[in-house]
Amino acid sequence: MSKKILILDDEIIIRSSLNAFLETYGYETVEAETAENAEKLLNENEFDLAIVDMRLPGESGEEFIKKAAGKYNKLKFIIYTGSEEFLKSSTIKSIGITSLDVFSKPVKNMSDMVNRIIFLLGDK
Amino acid sequence: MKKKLLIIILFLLFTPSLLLCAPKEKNIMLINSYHQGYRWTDDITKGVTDVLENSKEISLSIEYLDTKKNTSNSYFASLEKFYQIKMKQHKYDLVICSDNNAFNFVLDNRYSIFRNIPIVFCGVNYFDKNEIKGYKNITGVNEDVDINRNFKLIFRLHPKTKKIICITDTTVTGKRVKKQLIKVIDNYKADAEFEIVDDISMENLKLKLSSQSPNTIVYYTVFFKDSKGTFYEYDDSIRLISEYSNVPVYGSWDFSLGFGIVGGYLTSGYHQGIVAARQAVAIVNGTSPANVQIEYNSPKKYMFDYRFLAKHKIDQRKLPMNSVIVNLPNSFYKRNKIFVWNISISFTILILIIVSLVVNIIKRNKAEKSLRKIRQYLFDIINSMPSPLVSVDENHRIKNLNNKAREILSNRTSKVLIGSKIEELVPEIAEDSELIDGVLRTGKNILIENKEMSFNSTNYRVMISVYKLNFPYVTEAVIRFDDVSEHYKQKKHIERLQNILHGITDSVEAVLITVDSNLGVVIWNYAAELNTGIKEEDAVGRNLVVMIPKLKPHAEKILKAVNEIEISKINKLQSFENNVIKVEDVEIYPLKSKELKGAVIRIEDVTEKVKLDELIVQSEKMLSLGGMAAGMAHEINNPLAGIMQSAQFLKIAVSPEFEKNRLAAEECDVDLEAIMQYMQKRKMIEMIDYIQQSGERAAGIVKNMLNFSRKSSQQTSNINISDLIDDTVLIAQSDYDLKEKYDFKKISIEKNYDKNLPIISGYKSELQQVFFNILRNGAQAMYEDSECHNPIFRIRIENLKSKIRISIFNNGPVIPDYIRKKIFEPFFTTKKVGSGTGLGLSVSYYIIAENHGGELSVDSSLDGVAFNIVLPVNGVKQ
Repeated sequence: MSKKILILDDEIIIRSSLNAFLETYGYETVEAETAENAEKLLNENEFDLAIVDMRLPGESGEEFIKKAAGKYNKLKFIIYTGSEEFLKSSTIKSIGITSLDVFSKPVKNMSDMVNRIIFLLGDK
Repeated sequence: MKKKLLIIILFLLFTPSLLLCAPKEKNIMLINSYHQGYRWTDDITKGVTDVLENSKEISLSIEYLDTKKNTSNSYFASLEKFYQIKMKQHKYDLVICSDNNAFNFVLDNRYSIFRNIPIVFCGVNYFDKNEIKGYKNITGVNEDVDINRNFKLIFRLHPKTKKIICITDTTVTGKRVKKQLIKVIDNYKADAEFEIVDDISMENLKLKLSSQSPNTIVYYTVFFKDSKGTFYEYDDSIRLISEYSNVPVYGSWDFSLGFGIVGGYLTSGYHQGIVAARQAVAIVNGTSPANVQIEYNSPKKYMFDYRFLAKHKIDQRKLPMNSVIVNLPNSFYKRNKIFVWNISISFTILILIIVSLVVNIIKRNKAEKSLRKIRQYLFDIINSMPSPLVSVDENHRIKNLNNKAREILSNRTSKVLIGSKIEELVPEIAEDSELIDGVLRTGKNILIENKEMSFNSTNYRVMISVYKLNFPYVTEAVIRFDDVSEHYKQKKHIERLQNILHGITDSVEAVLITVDSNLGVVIWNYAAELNTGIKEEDAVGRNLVVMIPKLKPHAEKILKAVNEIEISKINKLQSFENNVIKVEDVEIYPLKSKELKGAVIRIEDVTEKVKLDELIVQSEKMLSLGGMAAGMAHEINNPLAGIMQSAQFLKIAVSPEFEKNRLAAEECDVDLEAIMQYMQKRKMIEMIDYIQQSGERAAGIVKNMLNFSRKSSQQTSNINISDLIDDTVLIAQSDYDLKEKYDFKKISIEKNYDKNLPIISGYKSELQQVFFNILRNGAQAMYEDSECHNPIFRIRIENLKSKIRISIFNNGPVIPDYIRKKIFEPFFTTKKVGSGTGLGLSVSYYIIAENHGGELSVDSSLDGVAFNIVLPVNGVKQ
């Protein structure tokens, strides 16, 4: 069984290109446009990791992580954002997300992110 | 033979001239009748020698015929022979003969021996001119006795005389005297009884004289021979006669004086000699003997012997005028010779001392007189002075004062001025007492300027000078009071005007300088002092362009403005002082004053204003860009992420490594290898890389832009600026990017850090980024400048107390003004496209100005470029 990754981003080009990239690496990916949609998907399916954009229409990425982390304690997170300000949030830190799990857009080498995912999820 | 003749002729030729050349010495022969030692002869000889001694051209030969003792014919025959030889051997110009024997001898031999020689006789008794009848060149002095006068003298001194005994002898002379006696007695027969004694023996004479009645007087003439034929020396006979005579004996010849006679009108042998010698001198000096009169009046003198005057109690006061008295009581002198001499020497010395004292006194009187004159003169000067003058002693008591001082002080007090304390009369100088003491002690004059004093209820400004009198043993000071009220008033007025003028010029913030027509500085205001560091007193009178060299290129412009009376301006004059650019506006206002041709030059520092203008523009740009960047960053990052992710996916999508790709290829029945080859052939892979790179560049720009908007995530920390800069330099030196293009280590670093720099609060990495940026830019600039052979960074850190100023200077190319103005603008770069973001310096500016509340500016000069960073010690914006 391949690992399942939820991609939460309001930009289609981010989602689809990330989707295609991760699929090439053998991961099963599901896309969500909003946090609400992502929460629905989490309820229906079991995911190993969520790649979360912080700035979203409606509920923010941070709130989503808070909720999801509370519900699914096995779920890992990668923050994929246009800015780094959220690092300051103590909630994010308390969940166990380190600066190594935060990627600023745009990422120069996507393999860096893949390597981090591999580190977080262990073997495929 | 011929030779001898020649010598003789020559001799004869020269002899007369030799004679002519020799001093013409006259030879006179004195022939005395008697012998040397015979008183009468010696007297005459002395008279002759005394006269002839004085004429050096005359030489005298003295002969003695010695006829007192020798009277024989054979003797005279021998004498004739003797003188015949003598006169032949030597030429005599004149012969003086004394007494009858010599005279007769000469006359007898006039033609044989003494031919043609002028003859002067003397001592010839009762000379009769018939005696020389037929002879020429003969003159002389008669010798006679004035019996008449002697009788008169006797009657005068002895009015009671009843009898006069006249003593004479039977010699030739005696007989002649007797003849005369008889003649004279005739005239006095009525007055007294006369007796002539001539032919008597010495014994009888003695007897006769020893028994004479009191009113008898003896008149002695000569007595050489008595009736017995006994000869007596001239002194023997009178001595004997006087000894035995109980009455006064008067004489006729001076040789009798001192041997017993009282005195008389005496014939003098000495004077006979003198008169004869004078006649002789006249003749040898050229007077014809015929013109020299025979002196019949034999020289005589009233002469007396004190001893016999006293013996016979004759009143000296009755003696005739001009009487000579011999043997005056010199007994005392004889007895006390040494004492008398001592006294007389002492007396002489005293006289000399007195004389010298008198001379001295006269000199002193003279000097005193001139001193009095000078004193009076000085007094007049001092008294005519309009300033009061007072001299005081060490107790400040008045010793002296001039008229003006007297006038003023008398007005102030009724006290006696001399001796009063100056402080009591002039209380105004009581406070200066110690100064007066100081003058007296040290001798250094002092000046008390500007003292307020009142007189007749008017206030005066007085200058007091005190100086010490320069006399030894005098401790006095002279105090002079000069009225300087008018001077003071004017001075005050000028001072006030000066203060106003200074106040006006100094209150102007701009440099204000007044110059004359030669650009010599006249006024130099406070701002000028601050600006140039040159004090007004050092600047006034010196040339403007020497004082302010940056105006040198504009000297002509200033001179033109002065001469044409035209306002002129130099806008934005740039100068570079202490690594700081200075911009000044210079305005030249020509003076319209008639008194002074020149100009007022106003220099205003507009550096800050110019900077501010640039800064405002910059800040506005910064703020707008900063705000925008914050919003833009996120929006741009998302599409960028899409682009870059997609590009990266495209690259891995054709890679056979991935199972997914292989499966997809199989489904489409295409060969992955072929696709890969195709894409490479069409440069698609390359293009994908370009997409990726462009994305990265855009991402970099956005990242830098974000720094404008967001607060740093860092915490402030205490920073040691010098350590931080040193670290940054080390990083720059080891930076790979830099090394690739040039070796930073080749750049010399010159550090000049102030000591005790304060620790500042700030964002360490941000500041480091700024320093690194500046160093990198500078290094690149120096590297690219082909003219920069010795690249150097001069890093200076100054402690400005509440601020730190960091200046990083490089000697790279000058930054032109148009670039300098834009240098901090975002996206402005001079580097080629792709090598710089154009944000480095704008970010640096933002870090310094916004995040640290400091200032970042750039100065460019001919030497290079300096970036100046000023950081407040506690100015970080939180």
